[in-house]
Amino acid sequence: MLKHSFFLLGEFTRRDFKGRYAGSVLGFLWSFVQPLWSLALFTFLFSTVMKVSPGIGERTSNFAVFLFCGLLPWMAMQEGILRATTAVTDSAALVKKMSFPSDLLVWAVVLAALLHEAIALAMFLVVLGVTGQLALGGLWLLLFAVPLQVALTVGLGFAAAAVNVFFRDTAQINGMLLQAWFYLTPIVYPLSLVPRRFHPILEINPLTGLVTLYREALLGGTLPPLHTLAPLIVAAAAALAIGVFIFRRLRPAFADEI
Amino acid sequence: MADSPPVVSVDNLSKTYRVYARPADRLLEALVRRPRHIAFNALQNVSFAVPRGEGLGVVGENGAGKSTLLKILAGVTAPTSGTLRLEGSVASILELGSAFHPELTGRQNIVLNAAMLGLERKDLEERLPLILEFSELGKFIDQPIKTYSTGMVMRLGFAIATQVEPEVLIIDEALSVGDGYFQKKCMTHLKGYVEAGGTLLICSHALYYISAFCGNTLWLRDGRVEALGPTRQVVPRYEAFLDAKVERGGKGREIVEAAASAPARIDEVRLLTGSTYRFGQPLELEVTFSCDDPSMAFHLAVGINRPDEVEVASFLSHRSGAGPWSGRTRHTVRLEIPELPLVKNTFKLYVFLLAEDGLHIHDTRILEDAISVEYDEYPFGIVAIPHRWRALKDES
Repeated sequence: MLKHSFFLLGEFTRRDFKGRYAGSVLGFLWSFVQPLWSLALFTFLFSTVMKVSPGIGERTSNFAVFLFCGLLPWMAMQEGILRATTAVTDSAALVKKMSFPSDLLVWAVVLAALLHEAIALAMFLVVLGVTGQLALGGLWLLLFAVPLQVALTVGLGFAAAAVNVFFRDTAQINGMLLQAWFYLTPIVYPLSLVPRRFHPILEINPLTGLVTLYREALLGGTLPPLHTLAPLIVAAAAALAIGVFIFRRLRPAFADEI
Repeated sequence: MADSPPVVSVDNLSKTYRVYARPADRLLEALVRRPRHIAFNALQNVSFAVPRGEGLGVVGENGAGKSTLLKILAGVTAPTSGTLRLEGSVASILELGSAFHPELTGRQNIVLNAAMLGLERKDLEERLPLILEFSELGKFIDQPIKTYSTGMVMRLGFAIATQVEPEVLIIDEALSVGDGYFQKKCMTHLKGYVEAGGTLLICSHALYYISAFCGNTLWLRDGRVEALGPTRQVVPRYEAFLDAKVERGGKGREIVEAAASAPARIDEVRLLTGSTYRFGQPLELEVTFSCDDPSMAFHLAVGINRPDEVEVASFLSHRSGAGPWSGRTRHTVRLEIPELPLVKNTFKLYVFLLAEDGLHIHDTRILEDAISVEYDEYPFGIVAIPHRWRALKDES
């Protein structure tokens, strides 16, 4: 049964991946172009125009490198949550006509987002290698970072996907909330630039812990102190539990509502 | 087969949908907990069982609850109340090709679709060539589905379903697959499936399919079981019902009521032998009528008409040497037909209360859909006439 679920999940992810690029000229290459485009725009804006620099206490003085470390998990989370929100409603024909575990629809888009991240990460590591900044010593930290990130993404994705079936405004609201979340996370700016009194807000933001973990992992660092990671661990566990609960609770009514 | 345990058993199944006027109503109801929906009973207290190796046809008009029932059986939606038990694997084709991704090729869609229908990876590898062969799509199999015609999509969908081989197969209006040649191929396959012990549930407006595969038929009307029994009895009744409905729609239903002031009126017409018949069965009809004056004398006439008002037979007491009846204010007269020569269809009955002269009509009673005649084979015509065939010696 579980084996069949994995087979099915693989096929759903493949459907998502192939379906998305089918018919476009660049096709799969868009997976490479999109992260580079974001990186170029943000670097121009924040580093060239606004003169933000990673500053003291960070492991790199190169803004683009600093930015990309945070952008990697962010893009995967954003894509995962946004696409999970409409994962069930977009597959209305399937949900109405076929009996299958619909949670796989959410897992599939999160997995597809993770594959995009893996591609971007591989590209990033090559660039670091070419420019002589590669440090492999911290990569093992990804073994913590990725599961926590997936738990957070899937949990929020499940909740959003289920609620969106009944309340289609969820997709719009989610877009706005994610925009706010992006700017309240030290991704395009270092924490050191934020006035002291706002630090508590950023410190309880679970994504602060996640981007810190990624920077340590990709720039040869060490495991951050527990108090930095605590909000992330608590949020990931809570999101997963609550998301799965909401999804299971609402799932029996999906076919009737879509 | 009768004593084998049912593969599908459904007990008192009901499904109620909540209908909201606006999406906001749903949200408000969830928050305030005050009902803001209209309950719609799609299914009410439906019960039946299907033994292994048999087919059950589900018929009914649009909106009668057929699709809801099949959706519940397929596990797509949950019943509001009642129980449902299914033994073994179930595959459903609620709409052929609905699960296909238009941008992916036929071959890529086969994998996902078959996996969703429950086929394991290793079985799929074995059966992929069979699916390709059955679909007869040839080189189109590596083209995106969006380039396919409707018929091609359905052929592919059915080809996949043929290779999943579940213990219970649920098909909803999916049999109008492609051209006549392909339809025949599908029918042959389904026949083999049932003969090999497969259990089939079909919902179709094409009653021909139901007659071909299903020993029993369930007729749903407004979410309730109108009839459940052998297909050879239920389908003719359903057909007759549809015919009668077309007639009523076209001409308007006319029920002639006796004027309250009439000196004589029909009180009651009773079919003692029920409303469903088979060829050659007796029919008995009792008419009770009353009048104000015991000295009045009456004749009775009964007519059998087809729903389209073709007159089939008439029974006139004054031509049969019976009556006239008089001497009381209340009479009960029985008409006995020893052998009904009708072979199929639904008929209406006209009952006339006539004056002594057999011409003047005191009262009329029309019974719509009074008699429905069931058949085994599909006979032509309205009546069966005793006859014989004889081969003559060749004179040359």
